[in-house]
Amino acid sequence: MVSNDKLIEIEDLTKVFYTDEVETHALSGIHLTISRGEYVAMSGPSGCGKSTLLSILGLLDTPTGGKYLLNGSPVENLSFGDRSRIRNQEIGFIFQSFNLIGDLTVEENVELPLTYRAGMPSQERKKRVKEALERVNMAHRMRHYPAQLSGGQQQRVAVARALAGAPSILLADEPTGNLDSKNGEAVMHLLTDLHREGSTICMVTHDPRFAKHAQREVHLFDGKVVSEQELKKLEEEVEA
Amino acid sequence: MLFQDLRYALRQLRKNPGFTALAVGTLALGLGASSAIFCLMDGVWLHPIRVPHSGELVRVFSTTEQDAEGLFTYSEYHALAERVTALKSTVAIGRRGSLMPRADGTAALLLTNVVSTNFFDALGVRPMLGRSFSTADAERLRTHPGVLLGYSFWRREFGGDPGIVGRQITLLRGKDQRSQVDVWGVLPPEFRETENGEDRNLWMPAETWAAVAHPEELTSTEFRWFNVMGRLAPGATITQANQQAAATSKALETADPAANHGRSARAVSDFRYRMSKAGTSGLLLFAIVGGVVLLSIVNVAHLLLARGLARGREVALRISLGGRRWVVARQLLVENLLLGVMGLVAGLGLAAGIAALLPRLLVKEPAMLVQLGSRANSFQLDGRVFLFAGSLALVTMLLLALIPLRAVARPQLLPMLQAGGVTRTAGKIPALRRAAIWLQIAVSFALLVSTGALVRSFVNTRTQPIGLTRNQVLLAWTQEPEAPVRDAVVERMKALPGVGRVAYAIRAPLSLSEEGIAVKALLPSHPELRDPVAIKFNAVSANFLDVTGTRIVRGRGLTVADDADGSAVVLINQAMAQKYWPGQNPLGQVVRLASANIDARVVGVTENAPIGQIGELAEPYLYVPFHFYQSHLSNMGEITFALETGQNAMSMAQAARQVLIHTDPLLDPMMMTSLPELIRYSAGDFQMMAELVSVLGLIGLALTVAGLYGFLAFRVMQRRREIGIRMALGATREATAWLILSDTARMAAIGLAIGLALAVAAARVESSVLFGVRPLDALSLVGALCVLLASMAAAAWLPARRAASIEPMQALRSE
Repeated sequence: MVSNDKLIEIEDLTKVFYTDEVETHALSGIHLTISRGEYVAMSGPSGCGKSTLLSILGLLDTPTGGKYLLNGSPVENLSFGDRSRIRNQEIGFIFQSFNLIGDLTVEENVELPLTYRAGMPSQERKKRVKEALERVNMAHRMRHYPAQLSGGQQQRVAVARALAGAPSILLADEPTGNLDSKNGEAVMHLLTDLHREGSTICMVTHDPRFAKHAQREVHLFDGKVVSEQELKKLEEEVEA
Repeated sequence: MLFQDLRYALRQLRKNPGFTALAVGTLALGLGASSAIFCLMDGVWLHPIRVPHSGELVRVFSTTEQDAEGLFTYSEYHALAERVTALKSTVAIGRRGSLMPRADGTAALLLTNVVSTNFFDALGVRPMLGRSFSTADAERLRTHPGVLLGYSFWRREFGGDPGIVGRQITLLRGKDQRSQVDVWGVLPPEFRETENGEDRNLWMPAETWAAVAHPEELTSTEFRWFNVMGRLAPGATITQANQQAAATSKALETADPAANHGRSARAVSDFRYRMSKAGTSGLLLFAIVGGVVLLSIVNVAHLLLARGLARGREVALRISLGGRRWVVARQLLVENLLLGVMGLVAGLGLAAGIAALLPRLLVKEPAMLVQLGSRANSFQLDGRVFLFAGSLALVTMLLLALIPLRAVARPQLLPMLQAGGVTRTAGKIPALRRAAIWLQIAVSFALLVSTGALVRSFVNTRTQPIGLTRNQVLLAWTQEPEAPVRDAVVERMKALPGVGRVAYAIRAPLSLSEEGIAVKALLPSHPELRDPVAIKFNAVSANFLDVTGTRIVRGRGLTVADDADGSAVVLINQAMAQKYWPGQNPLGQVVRLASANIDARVVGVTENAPIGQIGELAEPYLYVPFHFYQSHLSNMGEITFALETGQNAMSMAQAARQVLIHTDPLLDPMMMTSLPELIRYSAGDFQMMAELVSVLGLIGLALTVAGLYGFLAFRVMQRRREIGIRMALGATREATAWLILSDTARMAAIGLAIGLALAVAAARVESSVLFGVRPLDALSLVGALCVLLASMAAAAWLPARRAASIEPMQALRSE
């Protein structure tokens, strides 16, 4: 399923947070490539920078330094408007806390990103919403509000929302973090299925069981990409 | 415990100075503005007579088909005093003028109240100096007439000399007859009249009036000039007083059908009488004040709701730690109470400031060379205003108390404790808050529409044709001299430099002479009118209507020949033509003047011109030649000269006065002013309403804009996470700003629709206080719409901008 077509290329990416007099290096010289059709899991302990990296990949945040090519185009210095457009068309987000909007129905929530696409006719939007909801087996709950759904169902709706725009990549930030193990497994299976059908997925997780679902695992520690062996060693050092 | 709550509440308010200042300021604005307006309304209309137990006072009116507030003869007053047992201490009060000669041979007109001898005892008014008269003094007063002086007259004319008591003053009767009257005392400054704003110079018992003036005015059934009032007897009701007054009137009709046919009487509490005086203007002002108070309450409610959400976690924590709900509620209530008290204190301070400015809001009296005295409205923050403001503050606090009580009644402990006081998703706007915003927009819109209509109405009084010229015409009101002297005065006035035509009439229009004078007439073309009808009239020189600018719209005007030979011809106004001869030619119709039993022929129709004040409903009116009036109708003993001039009329006043005094010192005018000044003064109610409603409209708009801004700003804060999600999903900054603006637009559309309904309802009330403007005036509607939309756009702009500048990553991370 993996092609050599590079979707994401990151070189020497850094992210520094400045708060008062403290300078925090969240990411330090990250090199990462994700090819179209790939399923990558980013794991590491709390505070290692995996969510920050995902935010930068999703154009929700900008890097302090380094290069970021998405679909071969540099995106690190785009305007807010251009980043919004790319987020809308190329990226599908799945958040840990689902982030559905409480006063919109399931259908409206899934349709939301499509409404920001200029010129997409309503019929086309409705068709895509239906397809996406059918894909996650939630079409029968179209008229429901998020509060009327279980956590697992809400996350499936969130996946449908991410899928509806037919993005180049799905970015999932701890998608099972707010779910019980059964619902967590179900969502992971859904992502696996999506990957089988050709989706590119980049998932952040701290749970090794779920990371195993991915084709490739990227380990982060203190803002750097490390190998699995290095990670174990570093973790042992910290524990010692 | 309460002290601890109070201390905690103070600390909370001190910790949030922005919230405290905003809430107290908003309450102060609402309470202050409304208290100041109440202060004005109280001074002008509502304040009861300043006598002990004023709540017991009842007014009795003589009524006919045409008049619901008619006056009584003195003998009718006696009959009422005797037979209406539901009233005790029934008194009579009649308004007249007395002339007091000055050293230079001229005479000053004194505004005189002629009262029944029991008047001061019955009302409980004690003189400041000397003593008042009572029933026991009646006999003595017949031979030794006496008077009481009004406080301001005493200060003005006698320099506040306490030695005036026991001295005598001279009063004139006609040209030559002088009478000495004893000064019994001086009235206190707080008692000036039984009508608000009036200030009388002289108070005399009926016995004195009979001795020094016109005794027939107390005995003849021709003279109805007494108001009657009394105190409700213990255990009696207004209904009983009403029934007894009507029965007395019926008995009088039976005894003397000719004098009393078609006449009845009614009793009404003094409070209701005053409320009716406030009329539509008062009702409208009250409604508008209510609207402003409502806006301020809604604003503070928004603030409290926002704060309630922010403090939800604290409430949840207190309850989860075992705090009883009532104890937590009490804490919040004490905080609200404290806010209310602070708002009340600040509001009263604001009201005091506005009250000091109120006299400037009232329209200045017309410029006069000679004047009768001035109005005496007092605008003080007295106990009544404090009571009003306190009641309003109490109602406000009770309403606002519902907010914390609601929060405590249904605490959502777990979500609050978990969410750290912030809702996980924005959710829809609660119905109550949505309704509050609609209400604010609606009230503000209706206020602005009213403001526009009332301002336009006032402008129209200055610009539209009113049936009177706006050119300079000097008016001099004086005693009526013999015809040769009058003609000499006219010739001398015409000779003054800068003076054009000189005309004369009994009274000038709008001449502060209340409702005008009436004559009884029969209309032979209307045989169904068996009894004479009272029609207001003026007796005028041939050129009077030319000088005052009232046009003849049909037939001809009066001629010098009509005036010279006393022809029995009359002019009628359009209202009379329309009422009695609709669709017919009124020219040649006959008006039979009942008292003279003479048939007068209608020779012309004039346009409708105001008689008492601008904006009044046009009613039938007659103009008769002055000579005819002198020969055949009851003489009023007064005349008004009208001098046409190209320059400022008041600049001619001194020269015109000298002409009158040189001709005869007793012709010294009782009042001199100009027609433009009378027109300006007569439009005073329109001006006052326009000014007051404009101020209230602006306050309302400011409160609405502030409320809307606060609401939207809070809403953006609440929706921060939702906005972050939307942006993460690709919403641009423009789309995000539009999210807020479209939300505002939806609320505005609903609010404006409700506002339109409110404006329609208000228009029905307003119609009687508008001049030359239709109640739902298109320009006012469009103007209000534009102003409100622009203001709302301004209020929404900053929150929309703030929403658009939210960084999605930060918003998502914030939870």
